[in-house]
Amino acid sequence: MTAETQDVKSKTNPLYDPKVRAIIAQIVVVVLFVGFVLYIIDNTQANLERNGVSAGFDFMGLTAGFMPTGPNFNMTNFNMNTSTHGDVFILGLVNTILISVIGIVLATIVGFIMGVLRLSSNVLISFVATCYIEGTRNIPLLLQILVWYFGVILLLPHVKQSFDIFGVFFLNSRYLAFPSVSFNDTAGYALVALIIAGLGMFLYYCFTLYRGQGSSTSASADTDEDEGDKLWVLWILIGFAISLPAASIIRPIFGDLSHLLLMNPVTAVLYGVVFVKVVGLVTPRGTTGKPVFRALTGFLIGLPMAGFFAEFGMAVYLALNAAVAAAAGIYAMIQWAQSRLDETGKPLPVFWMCLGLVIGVPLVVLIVTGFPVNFDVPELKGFNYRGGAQIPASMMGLLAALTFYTGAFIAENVRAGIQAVSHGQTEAAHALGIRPSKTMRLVIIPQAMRVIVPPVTSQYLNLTKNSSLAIAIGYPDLVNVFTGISLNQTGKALEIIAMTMLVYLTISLLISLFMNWYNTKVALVER
Amino acid sequence: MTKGYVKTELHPDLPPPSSESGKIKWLRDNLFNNWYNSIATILIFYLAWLSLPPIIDWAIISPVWEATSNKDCPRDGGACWGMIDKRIGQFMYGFYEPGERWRPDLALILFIVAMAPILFDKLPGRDKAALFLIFIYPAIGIVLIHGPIEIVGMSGGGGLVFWGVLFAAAAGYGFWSAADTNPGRATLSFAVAGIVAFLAFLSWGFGMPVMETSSYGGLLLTLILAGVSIAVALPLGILLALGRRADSMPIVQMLCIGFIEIVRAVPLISVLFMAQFMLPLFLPEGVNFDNVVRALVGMSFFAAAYMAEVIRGGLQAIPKGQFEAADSLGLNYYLAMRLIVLPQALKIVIPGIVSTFIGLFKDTTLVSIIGLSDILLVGKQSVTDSKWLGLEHEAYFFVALVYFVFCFGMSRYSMYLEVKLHTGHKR
Repeated sequence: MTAETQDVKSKTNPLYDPKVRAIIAQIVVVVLFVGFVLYIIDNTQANLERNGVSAGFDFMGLTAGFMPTGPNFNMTNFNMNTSTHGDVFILGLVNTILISVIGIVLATIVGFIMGVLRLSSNVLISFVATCYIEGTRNIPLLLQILVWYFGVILLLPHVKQSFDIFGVFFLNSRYLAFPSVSFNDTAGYALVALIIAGLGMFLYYCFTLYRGQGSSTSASADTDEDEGDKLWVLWILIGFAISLPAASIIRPIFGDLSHLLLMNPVTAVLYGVVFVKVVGLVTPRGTTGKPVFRALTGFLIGLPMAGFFAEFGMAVYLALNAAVAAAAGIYAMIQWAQSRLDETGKPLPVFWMCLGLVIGVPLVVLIVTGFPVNFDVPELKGFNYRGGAQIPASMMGLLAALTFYTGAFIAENVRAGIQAVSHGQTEAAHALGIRPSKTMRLVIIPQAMRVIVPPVTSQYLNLTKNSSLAIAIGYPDLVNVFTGISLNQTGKALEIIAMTMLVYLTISLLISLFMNWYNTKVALVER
Repeated sequence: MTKGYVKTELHPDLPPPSSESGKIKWLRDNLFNNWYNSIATILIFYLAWLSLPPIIDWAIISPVWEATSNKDCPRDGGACWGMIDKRIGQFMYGFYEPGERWRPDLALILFIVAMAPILFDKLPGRDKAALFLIFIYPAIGIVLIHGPIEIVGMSGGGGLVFWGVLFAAAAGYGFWSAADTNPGRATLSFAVAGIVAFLAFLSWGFGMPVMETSSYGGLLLTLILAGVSIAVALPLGILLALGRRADSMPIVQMLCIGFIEIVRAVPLISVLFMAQFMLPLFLPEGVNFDNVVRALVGMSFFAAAYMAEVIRGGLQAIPKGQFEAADSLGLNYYLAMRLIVLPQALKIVIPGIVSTFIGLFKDTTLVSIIGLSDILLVGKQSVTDSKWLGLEHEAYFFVALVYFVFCFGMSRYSMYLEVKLHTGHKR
């Protein structure tokens, strides 16, 4: 029998072997693909030569010679006479990130409220919420942007008849003026205090973890794994936190060279290697390995970012440091409170503790140093409001449209998420004697988040991509100023479109990395 | 033993108290079930009282239905629907030759008639309608809307001879192979004959005048963009999804994943810019597409990437046993996919496909940014005309209404389908 099968096998034409076929098919595909790419490259070269256009990124250093943004909305201090196309790119990138972040925050708020309202027991409320959701979801975003801009905001009163809101906000058809906050130099101490408090909390938590790990050598494999799980986010944060001071040390020493040292992946890898060595020395055995590489990831992401933000001056830089420190502190506090809850059964008021850290600590320092904060309230002088800060009409229009459009989609995700939690969960919680408010917060929402977060993250990504529609109403985002105006001026279609796509690709990659991390974190552990 | 005060029969059931039945109970349960809901109800009624009457008055009661310019519309009066009425041709067809507008109309009617049996399975002739839509309608649609596409000139009968000879050769070879009982070769020959007939029909096109694509606009352009890109995206998306799932071919998998993820990560507007500025660079000298075709290429690729992910969802939902059953029947990859896997997978994802299509339909508005006059741009430009200045609200309201009717209708249809297709695990 076996001999016969072997005989048959030897006679079979290798062409019928699926493996051979797969290889042949792939060779064909590769040849076709490479041929296609070569054909395109050849055509492109011929076309570029014919048009007398040279390829390359030299244009990034050329003076742009146009003003992509208004004087009241110029966060990167763009200067028409000296700024280059590279600066146009930075300006567009900053504006894209700005509108995306604000839009994401607002859309989340609108979406959660509307999603919950749609499930209201009051039919009128749920009807209104349904009307909002169906109305905005079924009308193209571009149309909504135009309606908000041309149909609402441009029809607001002129500057002289601005709506006066509490005497500090002034809304008219050109902008929303609002008071700006400026800090004296001594206000930096508040941020420094926050950095110290946050990092201190974090390091204390690391210390308790480290001690716990050292003592529980005989712990079961299960808890070890658990600890390792907790540690890995921590390592990314450590890496990130260290990269910021690292950048601040490198910057003053090397001056202009710091560009090369910070923004360069090769040197970043070098730092990373040194860092891994150091971490390897201080971490206990068994935890080096994966966590170190996670720390490295954090460091490698953090360093170029730190270098990038250092460009905007000390205040921004300090604020970023403070934000990272606060995040680390909050993380440590949540984890610490959780482990205390596990040990003693006593809950800690984590929310208030975090609030105390993020707002209380800087506030106390501010008061101690004599409140070195100035509010600059806008005032009508001549034909315009002077002082304070302004949101241009285009940004208001885009923001309103993005918020309400994405909010409708988020509302649907929220509704689906809440409905996905079976009613038995509520009943079980009630049977255990948990109060309704706590049932919602501790039983329903955590389970609903599992369903809500992945689609909502992709809505965030959509919002970021949709912010490119700014071009329709002239908000100076990346696509508008760089892919639009710079491309028209320089004619470097290939380079500019490639760079634009790369930016969005990076953002989307970061968001999907987060999503994967979250999914693995909250995934149901099944049998 | 009967006593006067003891009833001998049951008391008839009383109706529930008025507060626990009928409309009052409904009101109590749904509008006034606790204090904050009561406040909310009253507040909403109050806001509706404030806002709805002016809107209804503006839109329905006191608008101007006939006007020749904005002077006929009082500024503080109702809507100026006269503007829409005067420019309805542009809203629907753009600058398409007015005398030839029956052609897209006819194409649309044909499409609806052919689509009806596919959308509603109570109507007969579903298979025939599908075959007609896939193989014949594209030629008719192109010829009706665009006019003939000259592949080999028809003038002077030279083309007729060329196509005739080609068709006769292919068909003849097919018959000969069929007589020779070689079904594979016969099918192939008939397919070639079919393609020849298709191309011949395209270049003949009833000899109708050619409508340049630059004249397309309004709803016509919107429908062409959405329709063509979904028609291209569906097969392309199936191929990409299958490629992404082909574990035995890592290189193919990599290429598919790369394409899908890159396209999905970037905004459509940058894909359109790419089609606009980079496509001409990629093509050899002399070959050039017009704007509409460039936009079509960009949108099709964009839609294909999204479609691929939707279809991959369907493929993943098919149990492994189905693939193994197909293998055990000795079906090759192509047959297994065509007969076993894809019919099930596509059925699951029809709602997903419809919602992708809704998204695509809304996204067609982006072509107005690269200068194609779709219905949104027509609306935007119609109020820059000095005759109709200041009528933004009317124009946007009308365009929004058109989109809403289409998108809302499609989403309702998709919900109906979801209920109808939910046959496998009904409780």
